[in-house]
Amino acid sequence: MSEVTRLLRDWSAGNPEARDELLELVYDPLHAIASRHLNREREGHTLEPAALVHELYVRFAEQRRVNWDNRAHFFAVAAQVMRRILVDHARRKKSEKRGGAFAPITISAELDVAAPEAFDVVALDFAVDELAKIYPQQARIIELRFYGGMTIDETADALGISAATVSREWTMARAWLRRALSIP
Amino acid sequence: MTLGAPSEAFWDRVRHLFHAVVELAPHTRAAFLDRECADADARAEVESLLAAHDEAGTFLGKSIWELIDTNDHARLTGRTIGAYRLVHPLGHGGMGSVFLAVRDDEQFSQRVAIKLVRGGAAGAALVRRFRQERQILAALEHPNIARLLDGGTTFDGLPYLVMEYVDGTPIHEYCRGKSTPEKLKLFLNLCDAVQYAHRSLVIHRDIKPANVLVTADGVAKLLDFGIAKLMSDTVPVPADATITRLMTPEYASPEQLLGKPVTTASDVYSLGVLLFELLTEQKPFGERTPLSEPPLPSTITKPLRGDLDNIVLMAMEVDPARRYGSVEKLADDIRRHLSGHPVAARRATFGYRAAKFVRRNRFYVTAVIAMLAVAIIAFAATLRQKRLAEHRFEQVRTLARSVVFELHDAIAPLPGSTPARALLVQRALVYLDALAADAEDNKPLQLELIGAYLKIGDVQGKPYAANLGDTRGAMASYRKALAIAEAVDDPAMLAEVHDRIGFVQQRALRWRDALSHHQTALRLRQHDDLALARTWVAIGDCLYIGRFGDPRESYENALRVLSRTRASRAELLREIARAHQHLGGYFSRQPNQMQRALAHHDAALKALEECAALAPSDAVARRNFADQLVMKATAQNLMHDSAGALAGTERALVIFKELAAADPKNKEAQHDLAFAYEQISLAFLLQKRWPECKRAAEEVLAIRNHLIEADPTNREDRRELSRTYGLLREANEHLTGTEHSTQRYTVE
Repeated sequence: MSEVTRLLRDWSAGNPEARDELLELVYDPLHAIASRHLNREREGHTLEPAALVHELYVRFAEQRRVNWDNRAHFFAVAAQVMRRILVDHARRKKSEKRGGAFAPITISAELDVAAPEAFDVVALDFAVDELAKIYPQQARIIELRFYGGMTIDETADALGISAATVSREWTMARAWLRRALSIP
Repeated sequence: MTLGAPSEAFWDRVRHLFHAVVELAPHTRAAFLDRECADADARAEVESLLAAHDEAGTFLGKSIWELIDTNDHARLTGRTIGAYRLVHPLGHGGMGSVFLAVRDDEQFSQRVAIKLVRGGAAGAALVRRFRQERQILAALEHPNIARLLDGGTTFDGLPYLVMEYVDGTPIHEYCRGKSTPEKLKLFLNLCDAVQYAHRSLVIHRDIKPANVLVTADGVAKLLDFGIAKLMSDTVPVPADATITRLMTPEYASPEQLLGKPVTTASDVYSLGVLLFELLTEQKPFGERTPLSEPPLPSTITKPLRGDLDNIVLMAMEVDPARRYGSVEKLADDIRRHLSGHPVAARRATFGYRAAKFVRRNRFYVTAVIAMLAVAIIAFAATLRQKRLAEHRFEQVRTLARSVVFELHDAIAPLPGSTPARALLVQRALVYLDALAADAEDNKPLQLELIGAYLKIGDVQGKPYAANLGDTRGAMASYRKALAIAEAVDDPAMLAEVHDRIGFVQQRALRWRDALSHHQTALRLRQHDDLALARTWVAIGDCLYIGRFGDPRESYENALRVLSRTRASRAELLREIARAHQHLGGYFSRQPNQMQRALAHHDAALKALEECAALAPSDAVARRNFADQLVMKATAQNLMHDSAGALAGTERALVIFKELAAADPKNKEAQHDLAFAYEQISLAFLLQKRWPECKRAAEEVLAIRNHLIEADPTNREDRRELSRTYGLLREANEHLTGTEHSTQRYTVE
């Protein structure tokens, strides 16, 4: 993982290319794990689907120990990977289903978890991209909070802004996405 | 979006409006937008977002990770596995979740930890393997080992292990801040447990802080004995997964990382890493791969130099043959160190090291070429880094200096800046401390460090200035400054440190200690007349309040020093006022000297008024002026001029309240308020206006109680409380027959 560490360091030092390189580096192995998990036939084992994503989580958790500064960066990468995994997988499922793009793959269906809201994974991904065109910072916040699982404070640290700002922009971004997803 | 291509300015407007409106109650939003937003398009956008906001509910409220976790845990919590009921999750790791569970029998209720293992068919193999070894593992009975009790498969095929439940803190967290002997003693218990298991031919293989919990009674318990072995025997490592999945690379021995046979020496190595971390409170390798030798623990924590360096290094030898031959030998060396005997571990000489290097390379024949390449690269990198490091050293130092001495001083006079000052100085101190470790003979740097410690101490609890009310913390910081100052040849700085310590001792009512520090400072003072005058006043205070002698001469010495001094007007005025104040306080308590006392108070008041006028935004100057109003009122009350006292204190109260509101964390502002209210209460007492007297005394009581609660070492306010209760009792006695009872004010 020393390559990852080096890229993280370069990225924190302000080299944006390092981030892309890093994403390339970690994306494939992580994606392979997640896809294998998401595609596998159910074996009647309750834990199975979540366990698969957990494995991904453990990979990231290992990175937690690298060092504190890098942790925020790694979770930022994790967020992007998670986002891409979810949407790629949902797209593939859609194309397999009759009705193609019209059949929504909800977050609950994707993860086999009881999400309080049922919204389309691909639609959310699209909406976040749209949001990024107008309010790039809000889109980053969504990515770190929702896909990355970061707290308000962690997000504030990662973006170098105040927690109050994160909280404000998070509120607005949620409203924005909520509206984007409620229009069929 | 029906808006064509709105401009960036448009979206900015929308964003600002949304942030402003979303805070408002729904029924007031329309009026706000009528007033603030002329742009119909922007308004439509904001209103549509508000509508979405109002119905957003829990939308995106939980991250994907939380959804997975909650679901996982929610599904399992409350379920029964074998004889156990899962109560709640304790955590999850690579191989599954761990739950707290209870065994509900009719007779007794036993708490256990259940580890649910994932991995389908591999998990089943794990359980089979466990059954083979359960005899051995379940037989490990030791006070410092959490026992493995049982294992099986849930009805849906999920394998699980039942372990003794330990309610404790990971050992590295438990040990943080503890003394080295305490850490070593706890570590010895751990060695004992590992040694015991080794005798039963069980190797732990995954000793790390997370696997050692310390209970509330201080008993260390090693978890997961034998689990790592079961796992690695039965769970196939997926092609794309590294070996790190099954162990923790930072604590794993080099032979484990290289996939070589694991022996008891591997546990010795992991214990070495753990010991390193306990002693230095840092991981030995940071982000490097642990295939090389660790740094000396004493490079992180100086006092570890010598035995402990050698012990840790010997436990962490790359070549297993060169490590301690057993955990027992490691433990013996630690015991020898604790009792002051020579240890077996010795720092290697160069020749010995060179020989060892060769031998080690032979040991890892396959890695020789790679290691040579790495060594060369590392050597080149070190050279480059050294040059870089020197450059960086200066940069960091310049930055820290600027933060402590420029930024801090710039914001210090602003009301409300106390917490920000503390943060600034603390952050900068981290860097300075790190730099100081590398620059023992660097006098300018050490002076900066002293200055920084003084500043942090001031912010923590310098009496009579804006501070956080942390007397103990202030004393600790000043003592650090003293330790450095005593080694640096700079009498003025040393004098300054002694004076600060004296001031804190005064607040703690240790007058004799305070006096001796101020007297030391006096002897050291040479050219700085302002500081010399301050020291004289402090000596007078200690003599007077500590009842060691007459302070008048000391105070007058201060005035004499100041009369010959050329300094900036404001500074000079401040010191002149201080000397007059203290003389005023002194004379007001001498028989038949009240006119003299008032004259000094007026002289002080005049100087401070001019001082405040020179810098109208200076919170300290305003505070000092108001403080002097109260001091004068004290004298006036003693002369039974209650009307004069009330006029002055009411004026002071306005200023104090303003300052306290602007800086709510500043405890000194609360002291000031308490003193003002006390004089007000006293003045009303003289006028026999009992309800007013009582009300003011209650204000004092509330403030003082609050201060004492926040800083238990603050004895000054505790002492003053008796006066406050006196005032209350007096007022209450005259108010008997009203609904108030005196019982509320009895001292607890």
